[in-house]
Amino acid sequence: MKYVCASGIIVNRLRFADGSVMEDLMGGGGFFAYSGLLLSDPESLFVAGVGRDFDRIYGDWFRRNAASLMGVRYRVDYSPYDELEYLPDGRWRPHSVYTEEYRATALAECRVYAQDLEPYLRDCKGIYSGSGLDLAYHKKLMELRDRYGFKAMWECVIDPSITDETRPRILEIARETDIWSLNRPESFRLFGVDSEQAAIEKLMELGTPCYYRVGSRGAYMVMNGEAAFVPVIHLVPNEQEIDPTGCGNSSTAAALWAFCEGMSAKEICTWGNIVAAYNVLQFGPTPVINRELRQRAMNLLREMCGEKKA
Amino acid sequence: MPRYIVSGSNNVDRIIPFEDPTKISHAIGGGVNYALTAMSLFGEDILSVSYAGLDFDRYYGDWFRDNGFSSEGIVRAFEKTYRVDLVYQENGTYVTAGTVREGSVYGRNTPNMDLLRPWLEGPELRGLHLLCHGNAVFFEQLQQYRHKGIKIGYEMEVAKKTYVDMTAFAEEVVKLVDYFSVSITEAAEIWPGVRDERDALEIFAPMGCDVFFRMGRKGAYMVSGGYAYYSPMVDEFGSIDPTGCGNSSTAAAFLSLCEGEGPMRAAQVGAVAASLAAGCHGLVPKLTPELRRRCKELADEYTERAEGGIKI
Repeated sequence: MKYVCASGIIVNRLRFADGSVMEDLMGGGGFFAYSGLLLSDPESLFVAGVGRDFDRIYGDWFRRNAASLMGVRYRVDYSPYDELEYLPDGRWRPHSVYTEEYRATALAECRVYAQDLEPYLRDCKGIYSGSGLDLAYHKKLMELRDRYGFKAMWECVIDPSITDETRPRILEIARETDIWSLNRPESFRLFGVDSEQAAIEKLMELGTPCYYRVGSRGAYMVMNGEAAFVPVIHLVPNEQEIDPTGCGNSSTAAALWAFCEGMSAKEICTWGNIVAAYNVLQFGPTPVINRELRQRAMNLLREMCGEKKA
Repeated sequence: MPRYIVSGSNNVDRIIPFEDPTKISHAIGGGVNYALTAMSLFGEDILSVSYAGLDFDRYYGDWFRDNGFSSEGIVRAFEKTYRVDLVYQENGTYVTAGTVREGSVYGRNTPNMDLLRPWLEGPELRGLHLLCHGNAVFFEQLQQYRHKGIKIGYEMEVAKKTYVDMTAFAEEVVKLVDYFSVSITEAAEIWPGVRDERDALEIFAPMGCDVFFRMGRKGAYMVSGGYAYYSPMVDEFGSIDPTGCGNSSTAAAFLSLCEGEGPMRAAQVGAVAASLAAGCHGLVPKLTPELRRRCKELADEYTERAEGGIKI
């Protein structure tokens, strides 16, 4: 497989303020990331620990989109399952459908270690990891990268608090990886700055190429001393967009693909934004990912950036 | 190649004294290591196949070397080996902290097929003993090896909130293993109707697998084929620290059964292993040939003294 997404899943239930409920929604940051990779390249593999209910909830999506299930590991009886309860003021509050202890244990048991990736690396060009701050994972991944020659993307998935203790570790991982991604609030906390411009300067100092997401404004690709900005892309009028959940993850994985395919900073950023534009059209991931959709997305990239390079 | 594999949690105990909580010391622990010790007391070629932190050798290196244990099966997959705080109280007892609350670290120790698969094809392999939080799907995946004749033992980690339905899981898993073990406190937590040992034995009797039922100072029963075989608590090495006694007795009794010994003998082997564990602070520092010989003699003596099984 040319691209690998190493992560996990979380099933979602949405409980709206009017009392209506949507159940069994495919979710999990890593899964959204995989949908972004798959839209970019059909030779993409999802490697994740899952629950027994995986096939019932995700199976059709994988089969419909001709996505390989070879990397799926059945590790727990019930996949982690979160309810997002929307409050009348529009905010939402998450909690586990099971116990918080079960959630934490199941997430840990579903964790894919870097060692588990080795069978898929021979022809691999890029790996997306949303792996937290465990240095053992990153150390092993870097070892594997040096052996197999792929590029590693790290999406900085961290707790809301970036502390003095975690800051050096985040920067260490970011320095060692080939490309990374974070969003605006994370960048402000990490660098102690209060503007995008100041954050970009810090990202340039750090040196590692970064897909820097600035929410509904769009994203920057910071690399080679340049910060290319591309505003958010709308495929439909604003009010017809449904749910931004997973836009950051899917666009980040898409940016990895574009980076590995040798695209320019502007093209990488544009591709990430195009993939996010498809993701926002519904609850859950892009439902049908096929050659036609890839072609349409690629044409859009060509229109926006000129000559196609991939 | 190993004859037995034992798999479970490595953890370092942080001992926090009552008198001065700032004077923290560390002691190596983890159910899997008590089990490794107990199985090695009565058998040979036992291998721990377990997840650990990058700091594993710092904590366990000397102990593994001193006892001739191979660390070939240790996969250093995360940064820090899981820590459990033993917070000592004024009366000399301790409470543990960190087990479930830090679930994200706790669950990382749980064995899975990625960890075990490389070892399960070994031609000499007779048994796999697991001490862990459980998922039935994992035990289903192990059935292919069970069908090849490898016996599966399971000491269930009972922490109710980490299961969606703990009773349903226990009732499913006993159909998927050859040997199962819980303590009386755990049995009461899994099956809320259990008030005493009689209630528990009635639940265990019809189960398809052998059950090693531990009752602390009151001894233990090996439940097999509708009969219960009792072993009293053995006190031959002193009562210094009860930590790991259950892990030790369960693992040694499993090995005994796998070696073809009868359920009464297995129960006594378990009791002797527990006795040795109780005689040491933490893990037994070194298994010497004399210690092994003494434990076998004790198991012989207690087996000879034991009465027959009780029909449940």
